Amino acid sequence: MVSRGHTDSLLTKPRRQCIAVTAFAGGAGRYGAAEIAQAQADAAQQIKQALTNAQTQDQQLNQQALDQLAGAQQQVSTMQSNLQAGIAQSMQAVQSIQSTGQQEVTSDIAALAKANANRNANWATDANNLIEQALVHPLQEGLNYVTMGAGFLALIPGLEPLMVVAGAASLANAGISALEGSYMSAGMYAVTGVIPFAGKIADIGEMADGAAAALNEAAPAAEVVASDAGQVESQVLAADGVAAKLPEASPPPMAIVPRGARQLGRWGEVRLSQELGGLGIKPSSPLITSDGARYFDRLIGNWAYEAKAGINVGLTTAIQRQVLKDAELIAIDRIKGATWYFFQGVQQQVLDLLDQNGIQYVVY
Amino acid sequence: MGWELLDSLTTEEAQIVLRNFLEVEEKAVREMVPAATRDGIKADFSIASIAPMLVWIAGQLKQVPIEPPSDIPDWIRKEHEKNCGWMEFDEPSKVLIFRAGYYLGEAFVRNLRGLAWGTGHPDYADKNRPVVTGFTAGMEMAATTIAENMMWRINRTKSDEHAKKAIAHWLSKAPGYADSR
Repeated sequence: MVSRGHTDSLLTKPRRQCIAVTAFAGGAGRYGAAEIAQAQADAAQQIKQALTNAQTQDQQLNQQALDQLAGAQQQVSTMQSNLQAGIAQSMQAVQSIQSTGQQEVTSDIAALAKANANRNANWATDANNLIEQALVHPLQEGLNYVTMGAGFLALIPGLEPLMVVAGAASLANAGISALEGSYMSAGMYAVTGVIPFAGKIADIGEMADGAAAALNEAAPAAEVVASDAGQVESQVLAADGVAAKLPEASPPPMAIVPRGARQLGRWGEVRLSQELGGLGIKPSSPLITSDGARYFDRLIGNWAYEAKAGINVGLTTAIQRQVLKDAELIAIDRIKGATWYFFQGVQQQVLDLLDQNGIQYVVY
Repeated sequence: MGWELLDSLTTEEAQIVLRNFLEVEEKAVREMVPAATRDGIKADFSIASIAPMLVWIAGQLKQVPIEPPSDIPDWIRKEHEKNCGWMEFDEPSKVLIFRAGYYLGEAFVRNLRGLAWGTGHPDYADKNRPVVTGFTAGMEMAATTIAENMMWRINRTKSDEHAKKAIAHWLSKAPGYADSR
């Protein structure tokens, strides 16, 4: 029995396997070909519907991304327009200042305005580059993912496994997610002004406007300064021209250099005063020497300056006495030294006497 | 040195300034003498001691640069720079210049008969300043200004030669100089 039983058990396994196959076959047998075809058609319809839904979702996301990109680009474009207008105003103000200013200060203002305008322009370029890198490129990349996913979907035959559809959808969603991530880190935040460089873009426009306004305000003052500077410069040039001609006049016109000795002396003092620029003190009282009083034209730090406006000054007794007085004042250290100025010539004898007594001189 | 203020004083007020100058500087110089002695200077108010004393004080003077006026031509600026330089003595140095002036004048007054401290003649540039009077031809020694110029030249030339000659010039104008020799 044992043996039979064992034998039976050995025999039953193939049979059960056979039954299972038969059951499957029997099951198939329960559904007809039409039913199977219907099931396949239903499945295909479901797949198509899923594909359609996925494509619709992709298109919606795609459109949403495109709308956001368009909005961001519009805002950037507006900012750029404002920036360009501000820069144009700045440059116009600069040109206005440059056209009216001829002095160094004005040039400095213009250079500063130029630098500001260039800096603003550089900021605009940098901002554009940032936008392009952070917003446009990721968006395009995301759209490529979407397109790639849709392309996969388009390649799927109607009866392909659902897992392919699910994979394509995941791929598309991954692309959108990547796109949204980039947007969140760039475009969206940029548009809403959260990200720093978006604020910088706005600041650029404001700064450009502010710079233009400041320059416009400064322009009239700069024009006044430039005008005054021009007038002063003209006066200085005219004065220099007159001054340059004076020493060359020989003999000078009576109207400019009077001939009388006393008047010549006064003219010399005035000329010396002009040459010294008013520096020093015109002593109201003389210094005492053993030969009497000695008046100087100017004393600067105990150094005496004497002007001689006579024509070809010769060694008269009066000149000789003056030289000796000065020499004594130097010798007793009442003055540190003396310099004589001859505006219309001097004879060598006078210069020799001055040299002998350690007195300096300047001959025009 | 800024003496312009003295021009506006009356003769009586100038006398007060002179007395104060002599009193203050006498005490200050007396206190300064031991320091000079330690440096080998015989500060006994003799005529011979004047030059060494001025050299010693000149070595302690300090000049500071001043800004030349901006409205003068360049060549004038350079001319004065060549002559004197755009410098002035600092405040401590100005105090020392007063002491040097006192020593110079006091040495002459102590050693030469007929000389005395007084105030500058009102008709001349040294009006109301402390000066030594009694020189020939009515000359007056504006001691502080002269001491300042002497020490300026000593420092500039690194020599006391001119100071010694200047002292000799003043001596030659002192009426009692011949008697004192």
